Amino acid sequence: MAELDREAMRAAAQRIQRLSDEHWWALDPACRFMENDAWVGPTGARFDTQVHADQRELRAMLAQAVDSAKQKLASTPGKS
Amino acid sequence: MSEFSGVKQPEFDTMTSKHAQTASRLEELAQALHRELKSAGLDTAPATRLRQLAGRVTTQAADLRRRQRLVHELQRQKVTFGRSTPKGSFLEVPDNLEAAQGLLDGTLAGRAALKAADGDRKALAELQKYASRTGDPEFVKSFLRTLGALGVTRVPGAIAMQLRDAKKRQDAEGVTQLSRQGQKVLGMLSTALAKGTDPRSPAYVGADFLKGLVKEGRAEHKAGDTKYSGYQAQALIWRAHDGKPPFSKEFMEVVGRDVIVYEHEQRKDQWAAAKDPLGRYVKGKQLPIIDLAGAFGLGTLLRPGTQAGSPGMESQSAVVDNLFHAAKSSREASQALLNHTPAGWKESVLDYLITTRWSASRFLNDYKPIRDMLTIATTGQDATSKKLAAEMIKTLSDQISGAFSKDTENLEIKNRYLFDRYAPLGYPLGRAIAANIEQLSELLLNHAAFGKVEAKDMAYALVLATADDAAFEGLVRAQTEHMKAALESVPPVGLNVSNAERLGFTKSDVKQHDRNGDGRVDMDDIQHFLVDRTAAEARPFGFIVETRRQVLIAQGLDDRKANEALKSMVGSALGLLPVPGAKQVTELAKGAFGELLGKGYDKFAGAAYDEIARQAAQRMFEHGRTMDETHAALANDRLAVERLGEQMLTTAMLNKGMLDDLNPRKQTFVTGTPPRLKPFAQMTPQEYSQFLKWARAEGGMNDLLDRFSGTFRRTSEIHDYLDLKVPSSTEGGK
Repeated sequence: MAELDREAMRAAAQRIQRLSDEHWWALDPACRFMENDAWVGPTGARFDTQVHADQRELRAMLAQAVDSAKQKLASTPGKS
Repeated sequence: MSEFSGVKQPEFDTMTSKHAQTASRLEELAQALHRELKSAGLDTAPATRLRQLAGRVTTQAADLRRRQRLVHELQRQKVTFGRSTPKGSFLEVPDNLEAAQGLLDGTLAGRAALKAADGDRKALAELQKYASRTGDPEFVKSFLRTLGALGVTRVPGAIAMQLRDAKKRQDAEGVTQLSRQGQKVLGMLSTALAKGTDPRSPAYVGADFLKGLVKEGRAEHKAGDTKYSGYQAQALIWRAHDGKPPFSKEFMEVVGRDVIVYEHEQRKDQWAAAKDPLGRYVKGKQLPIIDLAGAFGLGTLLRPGTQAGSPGMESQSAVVDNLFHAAKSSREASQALLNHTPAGWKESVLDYLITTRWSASRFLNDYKPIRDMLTIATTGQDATSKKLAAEMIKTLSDQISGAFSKDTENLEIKNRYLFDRYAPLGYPLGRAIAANIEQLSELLLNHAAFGKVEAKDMAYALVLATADDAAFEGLVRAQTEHMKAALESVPPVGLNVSNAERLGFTKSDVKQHDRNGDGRVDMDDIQHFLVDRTAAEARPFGFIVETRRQVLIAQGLDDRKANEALKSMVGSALGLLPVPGAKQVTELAKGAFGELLGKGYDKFAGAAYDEIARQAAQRMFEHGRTMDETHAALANDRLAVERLGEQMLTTAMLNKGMLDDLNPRKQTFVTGTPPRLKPFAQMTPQEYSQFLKWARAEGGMNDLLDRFSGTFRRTSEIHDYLDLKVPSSTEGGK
């Protein structure tokens, strides 16, 4: 595929950043409900742990995508 | 103690909705991110991981929805309620979803049952639908807890009453429907009850429930304007039991024992009044407490499998016989009932049932439950089975010995009433003796005692047992296996200290059997020991066959024909089948037995003789061929047993290498090079007959056969025990 020029890369990085911003808190409601004991018991406790881990994973992947876009942007030469 | 589990509302509902939305959003995110990363030439791994994450969250959302549905239903049906804890106000809900479903369904089923107990026909139909849920322990627990011991008692009462009324009205359709529904519901109740009252079952509802069953069992209840005692109704549940799973010993200890004591308390005055000074029931019968179906004239309408309107349905059952039916699926449960002396009683329940209470069993002719229960309780190889077997043998022997005249030439019955009275117990008695066949030898040969049983007691017990055809057959089979095992224990020709271990013997075995001390067990040694064992085994055979002959004569029956089962044992060559786990087989014998064993026969090594005997019979049946043609012409049982003996002794000689010196070449029953015996399973009857003739050419064989016959036919000892006149001519029967 054709390499993106700097402008296109900047726009892409912005879109990726927006996806990250919009979804950063997606799992937060579940986490907070569970922190406030919406569901207690052994299976609930497992769900609590899992959903917190899922939130960490979500954020880690979003951050990773944003970082990789930024790095590429930084190394993309300006308009030739 | 399990942890508390539950949910807070409306937070749980809100979380469930939101999580479903989140799942879709994450799906979309993963797709969008993948597009962006791809078109920018970036690593798409984060998007792939996010797609997996979205999948997990979708599953979580679905689980939450399922849980939410159950929570709502449990709340709507008022099965679960709010509970205050330091963390707030919760709805208690089982942690596991299946358990939650079981709680819900079990409670609803229990409520339907409670309505059915009040006569609600629709509720009864509704209850049927839950019949298949008894596999779920949570269902069973909730069901029984909701219904309670009182409900368990009243449901059969209500069904029986409605059925009685339908019969009275001549409502044939109503009778059919109630019979069918009733059978189903009683079956369901019996499965649930068996599980819920077993401490080892996950469905166990606790000891208080058992106590509740006793309380309600003894209490008086009403169905319409009819009164009945609780046990009469509970009995219908016990009779519906299919054995899966069996009732526990705890159930029998708490409820079962009480039922027996209760009947005695209720009936003892009437029973005393119905007896004459000699203790016989001439002024009335010994009436048991009848179950509710009997009291209402329902016959077998509520027994599983009965079609309303089928013939032979008008019968009655006693409450205790229904109890025995429930007990008989488990050795432990049966033993818990029988091996017990209630407080203040002077006899065990076993003795009570077969003596003091026996006339009540005779009254209804419903023998199958008690016979099955006695059989399973006395035929195990455990200490309690042996104890109960010895007790039963002694008790019945004491009862029956007075039925016969003394000093007659052959056995004569002087008290026919006494003999007929106990005839139905002949089969369980025979099975108990067969399971302890070793004791028969011990009593006769070593004058040991078996519990309180001495040789004379055993003789009379055998009279009663051998009067029953099936019991007689079982005893012959068991002694056959016993003799085979005894012959098997003799070492083979050529045993010495270097090959002992390989052949499954010890060095001390070598020493013991090497009579001339030349370091090797040779043919003379083997012959000596085979003769000894043969004589020892022939005596119990003689006892069994001669008591059978005498009891047939005493009843005026023909003792001159051979029992059909014995003939078929001979015909299918039962005596040839080796002992399971036999130590080793000589080269010559290997060919002969090869196929007879079949698959899995060897796993019976170590089982009780009557179990091996049953399995051997099974093998022969499958084998399905007649090998020994003489069986058709056998004129009586003695000849049949001698023929079996010949089969066994031939096998022993073959196995121990005693026939190795004979030359089998050019015989019809050999095959191949070097010549090997054909497998017995492939020999024709003619070839088998040739084989026996050839084996008899070995001198030792005739000696063994003579010894067997001579000892077997000596009847003076058994005649002594039975107080028969010993004839002045020398011993030996016809």
